[in-house]
Amino acid sequence: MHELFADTGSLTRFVFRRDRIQILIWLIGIIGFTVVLAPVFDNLYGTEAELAVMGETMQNPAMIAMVGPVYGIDNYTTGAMFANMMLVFMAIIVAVMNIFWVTRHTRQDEELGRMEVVRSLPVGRLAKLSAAIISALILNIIIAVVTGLGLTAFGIDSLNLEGSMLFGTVMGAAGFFFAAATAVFCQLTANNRTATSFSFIFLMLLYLLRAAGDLKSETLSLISPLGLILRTKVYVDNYWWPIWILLGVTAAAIALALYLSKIRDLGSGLLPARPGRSTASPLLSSPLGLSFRLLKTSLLIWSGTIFLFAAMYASIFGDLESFIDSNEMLRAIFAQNTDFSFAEQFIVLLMAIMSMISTIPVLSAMLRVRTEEKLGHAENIFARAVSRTQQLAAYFIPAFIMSILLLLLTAFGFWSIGSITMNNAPSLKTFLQAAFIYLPAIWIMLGLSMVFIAYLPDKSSLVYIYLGYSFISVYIGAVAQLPEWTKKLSPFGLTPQIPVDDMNVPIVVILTAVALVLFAVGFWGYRRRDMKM
Amino acid sequence: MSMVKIENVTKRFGRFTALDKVNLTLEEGEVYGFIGPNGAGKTTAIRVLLGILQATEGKATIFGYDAWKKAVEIHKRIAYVPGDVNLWPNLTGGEVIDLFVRLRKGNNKVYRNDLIERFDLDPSKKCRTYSKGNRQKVALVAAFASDADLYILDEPTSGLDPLMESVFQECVMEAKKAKKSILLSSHILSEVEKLCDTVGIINQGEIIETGTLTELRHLTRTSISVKTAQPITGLKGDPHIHDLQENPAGLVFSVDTEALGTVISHISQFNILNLESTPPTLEELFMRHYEQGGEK
Repeated sequence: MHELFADTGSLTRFVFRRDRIQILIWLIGIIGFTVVLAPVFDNLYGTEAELAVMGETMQNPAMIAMVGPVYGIDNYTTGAMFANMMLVFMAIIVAVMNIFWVTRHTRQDEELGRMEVVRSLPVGRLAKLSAAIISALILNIIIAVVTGLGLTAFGIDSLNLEGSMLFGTVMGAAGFFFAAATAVFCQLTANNRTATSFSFIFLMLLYLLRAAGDLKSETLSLISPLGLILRTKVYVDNYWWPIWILLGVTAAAIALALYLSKIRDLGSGLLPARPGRSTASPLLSSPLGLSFRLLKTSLLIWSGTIFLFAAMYASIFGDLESFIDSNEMLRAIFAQNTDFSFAEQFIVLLMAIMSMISTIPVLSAMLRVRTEEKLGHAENIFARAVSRTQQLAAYFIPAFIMSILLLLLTAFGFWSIGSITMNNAPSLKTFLQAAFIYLPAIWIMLGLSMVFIAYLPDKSSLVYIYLGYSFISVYIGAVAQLPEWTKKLSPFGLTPQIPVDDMNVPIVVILTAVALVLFAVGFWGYRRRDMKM
Repeated sequence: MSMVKIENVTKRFGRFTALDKVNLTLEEGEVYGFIGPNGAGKTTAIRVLLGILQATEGKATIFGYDAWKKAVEIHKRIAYVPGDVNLWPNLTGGEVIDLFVRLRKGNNKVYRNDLIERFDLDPSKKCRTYSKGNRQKVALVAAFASDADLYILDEPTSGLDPLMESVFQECVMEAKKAKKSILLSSHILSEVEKLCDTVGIINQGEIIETGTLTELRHLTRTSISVKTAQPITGLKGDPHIHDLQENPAGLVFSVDTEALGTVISHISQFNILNLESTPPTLEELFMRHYEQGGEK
């Protein structure tokens, strides 16, 4: 038995050595985000009356489906609300970290041939998998303990020590459960990509199972670990039993993963790999055909996500009036303009945010052309009768189509659900106008990424930083009342938020013109530079 | 008209000079062996020819067209196999072959299935599962399935097994018979010896030797092992004789190929019982130049 695990210790240490920066970023990101939000929530909903209204809003079925049932409504404290809104999402984020962590240290290493090298050394057959699991356990324990302590640090009454420790433990335990589940999927599938997608589909299914269960049947929720963890009723009753159940299931999953790993061959999976097509479909005969093939999955997922996002926001449009009315801070944001309802003002702000989120897939489709170059794929393309312009256009066209499609989906998602939940819902035309006004801003970001690709290919992901700045200046700017000029440095801030703002034709024309110039410069520059691996 | 002509091409990456005034000519129907150690500049030269890199100075033309400006036009008539074949992990080998053939536009696919069979490739597998050799086969099938006038092959056999290597050599011979031109960069010198008419040796970004194999052999030494009835005298001190050794089988030495005739007629006075001569291999040629390159 010991033979199988020989030298797990050194491999575990090596994993920490290899990924120390990545670990730091994950931990600071996750723990920091959770802990920092506690005082924000405390300030945002200061009075008992506000909390009570918030509790009512959270009982809306759409919100229950999103974050889970409301506990402790009779005495809805800041803690109860914080756990209600945050717990399931934080558990998911930790789960995502664990999925990436385990696939990275097992299946990916195997695919890249590193596992082979490790296995040729005097280490046990299960040592690499054990090292991945042990390191995941350590990370989850750190998250549990530091988050727990961090949440108590602000001295908010309702965020007591036991509740906070339970909150952290839920995050860690849920994360570790997904580490174990991913370890099982890594044995079943034949490559890294399939293992990762199986794990994410599993996560999604459990989330949906919980959503259905929380609305209809308690049993379904208890079956889903994401539902089970909410039954801890953190900051209300602080039950620990769901944790013990989850840890038991996790231990069983780990045992299963180790067993499967022992009986399978290196480089293969237990599920048979399907043979693919031996000839290409007629669509796959141009750079554009190829780029659509490469981008297809991620574009579909983004389209679905954006629509879902929009629909979820729209499901609370109906409760917006009472919600904003009851909250002093939100009232401050939306009070300046009396011609439009709070709901309408909130919708234009959401539209700005959705347009910036939609920019992410647009940029990632465009930047794929640079990735193709880095991976050495582009060399194969350019060695054939394909011009630089054709190749760049092959990624520009999907990106451009996405910019329009995603705004269309946003407007449609807002309108379709919004017209059910609101009494005086704006027309589809209004939603479309409010969405498409952001097209020039998205195009400027797209054009900027092209200029980067043409002139500073190694730095091209810097364009995401500008997008991040836009997000902060527009979104946080609205909440924290940042000076007006910070918004003006971003195309999204410059765009008039119609229908609440007046239409500003010159600005829109200028933004569009700038975007067109950036496109042209990108295409021009890409033709005259060396390819870089 | 030359198929490929590189004239005084220099390529610099920042302060690093990857190619230094390189000249290379490939005539129609010729097979050109391009040899040199790792990092000598072979791949850079090929990328300049493909218009993937732009020459800092000098001129590279294929079919008489500028390699950078007319890349698309040129590429309709060439086939290329990269040294490091990077393919899309989620596409199958068959899909990649078809894509590559189609991207050259207006090609027949007659040989495709025949070649897949000869190279023993499973086209229904995803590229992520292919070994280096199998990825190379994908690139080779795509290249030979296209009816090109010029084949540019960058170390195409470094991952192939001996059986597949001989399939590759057959393919090259067939192309040669069909009067196609081939630029073959390689490490496997026996392969170059077997296939190539002309050889160019590059080291540290400079072409240090070029010519037909026969011409190049003249620059080197032939190994001689000889046994005579009377002991041979007069060889010691001859500037053309090297590594002279005496062993039970007789005398062993190497001689500058240009002095071979005089040395043989000198030896024949001593009543030859047995004589073996080994022509210089490309390997020795290569090693000599390689070492010289190292000394610079």
